[in-house]
Amino acid sequence: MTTALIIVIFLPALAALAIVALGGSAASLRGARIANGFAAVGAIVLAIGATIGTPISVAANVEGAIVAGFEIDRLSAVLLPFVLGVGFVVQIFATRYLRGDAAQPRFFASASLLATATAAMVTASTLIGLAAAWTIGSVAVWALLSLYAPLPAARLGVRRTMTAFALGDAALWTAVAIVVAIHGNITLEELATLEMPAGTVAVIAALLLVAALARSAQLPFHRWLPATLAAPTPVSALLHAGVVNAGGILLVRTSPLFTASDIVMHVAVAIGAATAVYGTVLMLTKSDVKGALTHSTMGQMGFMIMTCGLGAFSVAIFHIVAHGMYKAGLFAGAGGAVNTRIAHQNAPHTEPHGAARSVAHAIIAWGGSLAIFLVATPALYPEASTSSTALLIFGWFSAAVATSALLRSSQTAFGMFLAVLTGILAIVGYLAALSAFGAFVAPAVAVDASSATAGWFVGGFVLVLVAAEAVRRSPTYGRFGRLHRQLYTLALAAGHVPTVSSSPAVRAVRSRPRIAPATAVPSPAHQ
Amino acid sequence: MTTTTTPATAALHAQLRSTVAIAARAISTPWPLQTFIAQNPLAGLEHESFSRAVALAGDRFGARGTLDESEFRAAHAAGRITDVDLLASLSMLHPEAMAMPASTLGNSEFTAGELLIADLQYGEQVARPARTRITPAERVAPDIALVIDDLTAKWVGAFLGASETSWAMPGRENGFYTAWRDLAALDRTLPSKVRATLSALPECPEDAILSALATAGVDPADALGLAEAHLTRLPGWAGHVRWAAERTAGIDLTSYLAMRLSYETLLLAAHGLPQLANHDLRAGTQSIAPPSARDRVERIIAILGIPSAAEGQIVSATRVLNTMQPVDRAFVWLGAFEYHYRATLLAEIAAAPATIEATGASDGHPRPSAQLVFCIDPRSEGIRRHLEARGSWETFGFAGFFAAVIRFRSLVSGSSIDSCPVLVSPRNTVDEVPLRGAHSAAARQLASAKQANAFRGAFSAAKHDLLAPFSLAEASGWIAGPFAAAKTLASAPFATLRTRMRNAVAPTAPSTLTVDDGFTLEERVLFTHAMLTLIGLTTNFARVVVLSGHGSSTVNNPFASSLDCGACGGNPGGPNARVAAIALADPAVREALAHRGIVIPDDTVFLAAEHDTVTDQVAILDSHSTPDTHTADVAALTAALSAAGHALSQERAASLPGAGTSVRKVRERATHWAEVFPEWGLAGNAAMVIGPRAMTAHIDLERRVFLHSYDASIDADGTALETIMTAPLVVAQWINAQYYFSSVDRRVFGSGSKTIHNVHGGLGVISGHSGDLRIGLPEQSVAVGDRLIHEPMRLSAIIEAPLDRIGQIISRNTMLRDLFDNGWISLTARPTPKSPWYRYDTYGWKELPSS
Repeated sequence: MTTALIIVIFLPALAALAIVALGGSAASLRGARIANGFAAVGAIVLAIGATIGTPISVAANVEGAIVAGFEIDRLSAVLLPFVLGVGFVVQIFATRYLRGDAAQPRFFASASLLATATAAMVTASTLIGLAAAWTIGSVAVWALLSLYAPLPAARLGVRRTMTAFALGDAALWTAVAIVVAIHGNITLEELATLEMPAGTVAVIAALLLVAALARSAQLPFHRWLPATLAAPTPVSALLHAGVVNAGGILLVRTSPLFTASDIVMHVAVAIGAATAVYGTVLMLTKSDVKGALTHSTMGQMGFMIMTCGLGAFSVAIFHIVAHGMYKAGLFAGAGGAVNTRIAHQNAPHTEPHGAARSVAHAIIAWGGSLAIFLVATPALYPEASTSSTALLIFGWFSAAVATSALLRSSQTAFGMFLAVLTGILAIVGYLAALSAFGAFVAPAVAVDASSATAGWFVGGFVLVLVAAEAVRRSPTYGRFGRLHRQLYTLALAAGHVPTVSSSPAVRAVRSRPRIAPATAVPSPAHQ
Repeated sequence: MTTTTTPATAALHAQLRSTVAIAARAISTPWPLQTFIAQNPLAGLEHESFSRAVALAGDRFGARGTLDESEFRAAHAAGRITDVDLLASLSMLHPEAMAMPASTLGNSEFTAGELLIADLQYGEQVARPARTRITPAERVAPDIALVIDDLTAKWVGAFLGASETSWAMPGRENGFYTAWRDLAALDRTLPSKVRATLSALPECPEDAILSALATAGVDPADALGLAEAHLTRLPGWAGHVRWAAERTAGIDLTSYLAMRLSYETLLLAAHGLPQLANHDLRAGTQSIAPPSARDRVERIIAILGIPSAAEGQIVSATRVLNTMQPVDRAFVWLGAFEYHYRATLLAEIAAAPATIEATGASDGHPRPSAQLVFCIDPRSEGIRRHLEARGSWETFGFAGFFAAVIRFRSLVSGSSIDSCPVLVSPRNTVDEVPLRGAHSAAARQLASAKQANAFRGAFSAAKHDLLAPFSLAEASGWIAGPFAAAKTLASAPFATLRTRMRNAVAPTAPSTLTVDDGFTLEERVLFTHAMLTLIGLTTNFARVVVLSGHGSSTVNNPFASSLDCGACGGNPGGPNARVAAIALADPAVREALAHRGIVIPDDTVFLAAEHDTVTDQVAILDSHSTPDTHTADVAALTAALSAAGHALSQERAASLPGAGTSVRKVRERATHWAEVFPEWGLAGNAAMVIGPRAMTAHIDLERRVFLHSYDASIDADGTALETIMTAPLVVAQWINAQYYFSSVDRRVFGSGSKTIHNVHGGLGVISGHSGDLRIGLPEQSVAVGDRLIHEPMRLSAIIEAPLDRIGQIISRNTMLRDLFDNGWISLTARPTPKSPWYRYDTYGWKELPSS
């Protein structure tokens, strides 16, 4: 089993090496697909094994001290099949999608390297191992974003991403260096037992948070993610399903350090919540499909980091896995937007309901789903901590918004019945899944270290969201018109990635542009 | 500010608007992707000669208008272009040079043609054209030009893409200019000085332009160059604005220009940069002068290693080369490239077996097993050829809307689509309705469509919300993930499963179309008569006549519409075929047709069908309308179509990347969401043959030729031919030009690689995260990687009809004169099957030597 674990983790990287060694021959690409498929299936088998039996671990020891090691515990039993599974499916997707593309061999080599790096990161049992896998992941992302390096837009993405990653990786290695300097090369398990001065721990926790924020595209390191769309779609699928999650995984894996500082936890909540509002508001103004998706991811990662800050680690992992699959699918299918538009325009005509019925619908949807949450949560999710319970308010919002939309378009009694039934089933399923997931990963994830203030934080966050929503729905002109227009303009500008330079107007203001020689400049659209 | 419109300002405004309209000729008007309409990106320049238009496009876009000389030279080395072709092309384009005496260099003698070919082969390559009509900002501060482009993309994108966002541009109901003006001053990416001035912009865009022109020191009467430079800077956004303006969407090029000019003058002023007056705009590049004719002679001497060429010899050779400038060479190469293909095709047509007569006058011939009318689309040629090889099936070519100009609404659709060529607007509305007895099935189908739509709507409502998306992702990811994996790893079984489930929930109800309500009897008689006469199917009707439209099954493909039927407005052609078949089944229509001389036997049944150009399966539609007496005929036909489709898929597999020889791998493309090469569409198109099928029936045209059936003997007054030449032929030229330019400059006229496409506002795509809205076809429609699949050649029209009839039609129609006289299309014709070919040029018809 332990050899199998090593094989599963490193097989994709070997395939990457083979692609490079064989100059990207068709056989080497086929080999890479087989290797990644084997690794994905192997990960599932190992995860089942580790779940039924005891955690599978492998370690290299020198004179009794661990040098490096990998382990499948309950957390990596979820994450390993997830990362290798997504990696494999995206590679199969890309096999077709990138046909005839000169960048195809480099895609497979880099994606395979990323698979190994991510697999190693989620299974690493030592702090140094985790950091090393993390940085190899950075290299793989650099290679993936450089696939279309001749395009200026792609180079902008590389530049921004590598700047953010350099800061994040530096923070991570600094944190690792401090821990190692004091305690030597330790395992992640030992983190819980470390004795360190409170100040030191706070610094380490802050550094870990910086690393996580940079990788998960959080304020103020958020600018890289929207600039990565000049890489082919499968790269976006990998970034959004895998890479951005690493921040949360880091915080969960190092939770004994991270949770040791209340201030850092609170900062994480604040930044996560701020990014969630920021990303989601910007998403609403984006009229390009992929641009909306990147900002949606930014917001979702904000929500996830906030969840980590609230100490609801199993909920964060639940979010990571589900959102990863959700977003990879949306990216891969982003070309369907035109057909969706046609379908929308040709949708069968439904009679709009009167005002009274609409109010009734809202009451049923909002009131009904709240009631179900209140009744079902104690029964289905009794172990929910304060933080997890507070976060359920978002489940209520989703259920209420979706159900009221369903009710709005339902024409018959049967349609209404179906809408209500869907709402109930979704809530029940959601609660049951959260509970089962929490129980499954419990042995490997710190018990929710939720603070009593979680409710206040979540409440504040909801208030900000509601305020933003109120502005969005306010009239364009009139009393609050200026605020509406100002916020919209800010959001539109913040969500617009310039063609080339990082912040053109600002740069143009600061440095007086040189008088160009009398030559034509190529039109930017076609570079 | 109050607006007082004096006659003087009104006149100024009108003058400005006309300046903008003239400047707009330089850009094309791309349609939104859901109605992808092939077009010539240089359509506004068709009144110029092809070579002049290409040169103008070079100035404006920095675009190439032909393949590179290096590519032509490679084709020459590969034998795709021969010296014979080059000589033929030279005598068409440079007849005066070809008439010059031979010259001697060293000890070798060179005919004028040989010398010119040497220059074509060895001359120093002409540099890629550079954009020279530039804006003042491009000239003095390229950074600011980029800022203006970003601001343009931001605001125009927000306005045109409003329907795709949950937080749409505030104030857009007041029109673009006003909404922009109200927001632009709040844009904190701009210097405060600029914002302050923006907030005080005039109320109407014309005044804003006038004020910007005043700042720039440009007389409004001389603003054309400036306007053109601005409109051609981002041709995609400007083009979509123009499209929207034609539909009164609250935006037009005047307001677009007002925004750009305001930004430009304000930003230049804010940085203390000079505003350039009009005359400076053309200043741009005076690139290195091209080598002189003498330099080129010396280069030939050096490359061929000719010893000791005397001065006199060089001078006389120089005289020859002086007749062809380096920039002309690409057109000579292009002519040769086309000549090679056309000459081969003409020779093949001329070699038709003498036994086959024109089909129209075939009274004495046995009745064919069935007659099938397909679209003129080159892809139909494949299925026709394979079908004809399998029995006595007679086929015809006609534009795939079957003369039925309809606004169509399907059974489960809440709105109608215009299913007809885009330049006509339909007056006849046709709805799909359930057959008698199928009302409950239809109700079920409708209810299930509504339910599916409700679920989609609920998902979308939660996704595009501030509060709801977080848990939505958590809840739906667990379902979406396995679905995505299944769609990727097992697309075909997954698609089958989906279809089965849909059919289990709500099977498709048998339906018909309300043709009788949508058309008067007279209209039905008129359009069916037109169709039958145009294709020459007026006698000898088979027991079964099939009208087959076409559509393309593809998923996750923003360019899906570009693969559907262009004659049906980028929609599948099934509904139009059904309308025509239903009309022709009507005894009243048949009676009226009989009065007009077209007698359709009582035992002739008209059926509609649709050819799926990805899978090559031809589905008979409305199979309930087949009478029992014809079941056997239809069964035999279905079997033949199925075999023909299989053979065609096999043939197509060879050129589709990753298909090998497998029919399965061709057909699974219809449902795989990662497929970027679902089919080749109309790639390869090179010619259009107008005449009876007998001209081409014996040739494998490799799906490269538009085939329009025509029988000159039943069209004495030329009405039918005039219709064909002014409608289908013109549309074929749009398609041809679209593929041509998307291939020769894949960056400017094509939309680049699909792999980084990002659908914007449901209108078009941008590449990656920002930039211009792309126009034209994606790379994957014309090439595999760097290897072009489409051979960019201008359309060769080949007609079998009396020459003076063709000539009169051309002289009557300015549009045709532009296309033929300016070299956008070539025309070759012969009056009868036995006669030699004649080539049309500005001076008349020239007989071609028979090969």
